[in-house]
This record gives sequence, C-alpha cells and structure tokens, in this order.
Amino acid sequence: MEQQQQQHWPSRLAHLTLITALAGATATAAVVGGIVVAELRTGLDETLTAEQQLTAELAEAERGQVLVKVSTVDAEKVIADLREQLASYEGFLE
Amino acid sequence: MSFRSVSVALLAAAVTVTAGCAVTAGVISSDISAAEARVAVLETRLHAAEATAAGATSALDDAEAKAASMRLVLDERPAFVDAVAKAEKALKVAGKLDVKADRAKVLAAQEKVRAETLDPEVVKTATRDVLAVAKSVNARVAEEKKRAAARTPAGVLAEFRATLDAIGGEWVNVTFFDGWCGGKKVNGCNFSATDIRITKALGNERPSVRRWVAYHELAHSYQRLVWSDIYTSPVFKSLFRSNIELLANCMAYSQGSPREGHHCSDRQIRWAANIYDGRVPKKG
Repeated sequence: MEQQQQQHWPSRLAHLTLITALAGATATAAVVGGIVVAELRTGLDETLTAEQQLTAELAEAERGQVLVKVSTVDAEKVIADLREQLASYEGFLE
Repeated sequence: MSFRSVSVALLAAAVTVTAGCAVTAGVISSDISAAEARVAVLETRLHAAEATAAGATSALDDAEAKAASMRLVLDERPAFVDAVAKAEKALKVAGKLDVKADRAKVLAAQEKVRAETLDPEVVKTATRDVLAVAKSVNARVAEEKKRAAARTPAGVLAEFRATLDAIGGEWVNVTFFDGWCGGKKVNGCNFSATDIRITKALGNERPSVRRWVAYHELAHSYQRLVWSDIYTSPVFKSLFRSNIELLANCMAYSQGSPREGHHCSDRQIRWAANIYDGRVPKKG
C-alpha cells in the first residue's frame, strides 16, 4: 500500500506541473489577448475618429465648392451684364 | 475533483480565452480594415474636392478680376459719350465745311471703345481723339465764320480799314468802287493820296491777298507825297524800270506785306522803304 502510494507521487507532480502550466498559459493568453484586443480597439477608435474628421472636412470642402460655384455663376452674370453695357451704342454718333 | 478534470478545465479555459481573443481581434481587425478603406475613399474624395475647389476659386478670381476691369472701362464711358456729344454738335454746325474725315475719326474711335472691354486706357485715348476732332472742327467753323463775315461788304470794308490803321494808313479814306482803275478791272485802286477804293469782291480773295492790297494801295498814297521826285529819280528808272507798281510792291514788302505781287530784290526793297519817310535817295 505504502509502495503503491510512493508510485503515485511522480504522477501527481506531473499533474500539478501540467495544471500550473495550463493555468499560466490561460492567464498569459488572457493578458496577451486582452492587450492585443485593447490595442486593436484603440487603433479602430483612431481610424473611426479619422474617418469622422475626414467626413467633416469633405462636407466642408463640398460646401465651399458649392459656394464658390454659386459666386462664379454670379460673377459670370455680372460679366454678361457689363459686356452688354459695353456693347451699347447709347450716346454714340450714328 | 481529479487532476485530470482540473487539467481539462484549465485547458478548455486557455483554449476558450485564446480563441475568444483571436475572434475578437479578428473582428476588430476587420472593422479597422473596413474603416481604413472608408478613410482611403474619403481622402480621395477630399483631395478631389479640394482640387475642384481650388480650380473654382481660381475661376472665380479670374471672373472677379475681369469684372473689375470691365467696370473701369465702363467708368470711362460717360466722358467718352460726352466727348462724342461735343463732336456731334461741332459736326452739326459745320455747315458747308468738309467734315467727312472728322466724322470718320469719331466713328473709328467709337468702334474701338465698343470693342474694348478690359483696358480703360483705350477709352481714355479715344476720348482725347474725339475731343481733338471737336476742337478742330470748332476752330475751322470759327475761322469760316470769320471769313464769311469778311466777305460781306461791311466786313470787307471794316477789315480793310483795320488793316490800313494797323500799317500806318489811318489818314487815308477807303470806299467801294466798281473795280475800273485806269482802264483795267482790279480789286483795289489808289485814286489820290487819301482816297483808296476797293471792290466788294475783294472779300472773296485770300486773307493774305486782302492784306497785300492794303499795303500796296497805301504804298501808292506815300508815293503820291513825293510823286515828282520819284518820276525824276534816275534810280527809279534804273532800279525799277520806272514801274510804279513794282515800286509799290517793294515798298509794301519793306513793311512786312505778304508777298503776293512782283518779286523784289533786297536792294529794291531797301531803296523803296525810304519813300515812307518822304525820301527819294539819289543812290540805289
């Protein structure tokens, strides 16, 4: 019986080692995985922030573009009006 | 609980945690990739929009600069139209004067002004040109009026009188006559020292001719004051071949008359000038 118990010790030690290793691996996986996931989330947040900024800038640029186009159309109308006035014979000798 | 059970549980936990992290990381990576793709599209669109905006801004600047130049040209238009009105008024009162070339100049200036849209200097130059036309026509009209006034009988007589007064002939009378003088038809004749007569037709002659007639006839008046001395003068015979008309011309030229009659040498003019002082020099 005692001999039988003495034969079980190495097996228990191996099991404990295995359990410890598994526990360590689990903890390591959890920590490393958590860090990787956290970094990825940060990266994702930054990308999303950049996307928002770009969306806002694009909207601003497009608004500016529209305003410039409207102003250009107005200026062209003014030019057409001035051209008409310049082409006038009013007050000229016949 | 047996060691085996614990080991299996821990293994399962390790696998679960690892797998969970891997799945989560995969999802987040996928989200990042999708977001980056959207960012790339946004960046492309933003660059395109900025490029278009820059082009549009440049076009707007060009249009505004053009409009500003056109306004400057238009600002010069009232002065030009005013100049045209002055020229038109001058052309209207030109009467029989030939103003075709003047009108053509105004019309050419008008076309330049109508065609010009950007350079105000072109309009300024055209305005100056048209004002010059108006001034020129007005001056010619005034000159013509003066000439017309001189052509009336009263005008002819008044002008002749004024010329005589200005050249030392205040003491001589002037009246009209029919033009017959010593058997010849002329525009002016000296009947005595104090009696000069002219025709109304003298007004049709050029101003220089009218002035020369005054000088010439007045010279005869001065000749009459020393008439016998002249006719007995050997110098008169040799230097003027006894031509009293030539002597009158040379006398006139010595006083600054327009040279409308005979030619006189300097020697003849010098000798003739003495007659005004009542002297008939013995040497020529």
